[in-house]
Amino acid sequence: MSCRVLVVDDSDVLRKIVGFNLSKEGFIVEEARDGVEALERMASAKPDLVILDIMMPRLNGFEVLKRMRTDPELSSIPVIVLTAKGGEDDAKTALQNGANGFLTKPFSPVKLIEEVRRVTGCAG
Amino acid sequence: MLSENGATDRKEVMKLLEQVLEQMKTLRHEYTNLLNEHLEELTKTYQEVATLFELNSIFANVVDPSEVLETLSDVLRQTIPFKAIVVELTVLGKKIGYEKSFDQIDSISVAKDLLDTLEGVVLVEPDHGMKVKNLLSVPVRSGGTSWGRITLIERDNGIFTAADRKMLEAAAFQLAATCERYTRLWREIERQRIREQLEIARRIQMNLLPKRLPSSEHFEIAASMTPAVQVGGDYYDVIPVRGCILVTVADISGKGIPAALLMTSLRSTLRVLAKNSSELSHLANELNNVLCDDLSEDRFVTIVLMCLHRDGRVCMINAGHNPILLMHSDEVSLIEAHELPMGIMRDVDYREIEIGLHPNDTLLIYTDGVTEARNETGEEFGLERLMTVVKSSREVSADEIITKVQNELKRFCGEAPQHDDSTMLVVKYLRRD
Repeated sequence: MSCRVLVVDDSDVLRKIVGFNLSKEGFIVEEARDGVEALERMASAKPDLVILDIMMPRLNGFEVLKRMRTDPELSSIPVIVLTAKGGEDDAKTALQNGANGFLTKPFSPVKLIEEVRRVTGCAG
Repeated sequence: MLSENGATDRKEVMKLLEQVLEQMKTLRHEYTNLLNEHLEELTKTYQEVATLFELNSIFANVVDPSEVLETLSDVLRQTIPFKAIVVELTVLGKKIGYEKSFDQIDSISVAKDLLDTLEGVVLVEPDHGMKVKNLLSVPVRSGGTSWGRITLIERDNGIFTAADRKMLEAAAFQLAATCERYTRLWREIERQRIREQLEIARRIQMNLLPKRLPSSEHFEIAASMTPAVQVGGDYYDVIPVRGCILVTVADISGKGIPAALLMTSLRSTLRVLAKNSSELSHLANELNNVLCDDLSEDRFVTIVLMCLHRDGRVCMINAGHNPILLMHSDEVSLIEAHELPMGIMRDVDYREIEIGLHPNDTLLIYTDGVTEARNETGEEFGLERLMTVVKSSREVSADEIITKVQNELKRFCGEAPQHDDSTMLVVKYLRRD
């Protein structure tokens, strides 16, 4: 059975690129435009993985991660964070706050798939 | 009739609706395909941008190009699915190579003959009749320097594209910059190492000069030497021997390490001969023969050898050296060279001359670094200026005479660089017994 991945990013283009590449590999993709929408979607259906941008309006990625890790329903969902170039500190903070992996934008789609497979253990 | 017509109309409407639905499905399918094509293209571009960023980041953190080649290969392969890579570089005269094949077939060996003949950017396509299906090779070049090339062999699923070429050229550009940086850094380290070794050599050479000049109640002697580069070919010495004080000032032709090595050889020879020679001329003859054996044809030594006797007699040989300044009363006269420089011809019979000093008479022996020192306009300090300084120094000590000449030289030369070693030795006769 295919794994469900929730892609959370305020950039439409980036969501489409990530979604397209994951779909091609057999993952089921859902999208959310910001942190608030992401938490709403997770509440209605638990994904197998969240790909989470840090810099987002309304609720940023760090806050989403914090709420996920303190919510017993969501705490076990693995998270890969997306950080901006030069945002090594963000990546470190995210990992300290319970993220399972990180990618720096612009990231290689090939590496994205590798990382998703590593974190979820799903082939697609 | 009506109901039949109504049924027909409904059928036609349904048929129309089905047709519209079918068209919409087709359109949706076409739009989905188009969107996917665009997303595919966008993914490629995004991958290229990511690769360029990654290349930047890799090359920014590396000094030695050989350390980056494997990572370079991995990063390039994320964007360009090639079957083998060959990187050949020559940096600082050393060959750096990296080869990796990602398939079972040994495409590198197959392409080997071809690799040796490549020049410029080469894009081999399947119809070229080559042993390899296709190949992309770009030079690694910066400025006027060609460092080598990167070659990708056989692209999976098709031929190498213009985008592949641009990506590979970007990688080659970064690699060339790394080679250049590495070369510059290595040369700077090498220069620094040589500077350090020269500094050690300078200290060794300065240690070979007498640390303290022999004191005598009859003579006051002072000396100084300033090499133009870290080491030089000037030499002075003051050696008490039987019955007199042997004073010497010499200038070995040339500069730097070769002159400095000859200076050490001259010092050793002179010190051994001084112990065993009873006469100055005998010492000079022996010294000249040794120097003829040691020096190459293009080198020679100008030298002054002097024996200072307590009664004021000074036996001397001026072998091709600058005139010696003698200050007696208020007059300064010159004692010109009367013999050939040493190291040119064997078995020369060097003759000594003798002068008599009176109390307060002063001798100044110097090398041409003093009189030929130039100021910023290129003018030489000259013998006249030197004589004027000495003439005005009648009442001062030997040390002070040297300081006065040094100050005058400094004032005259300003910021102009020193071109030659500069040595001075002053002998002031104090009194008879």
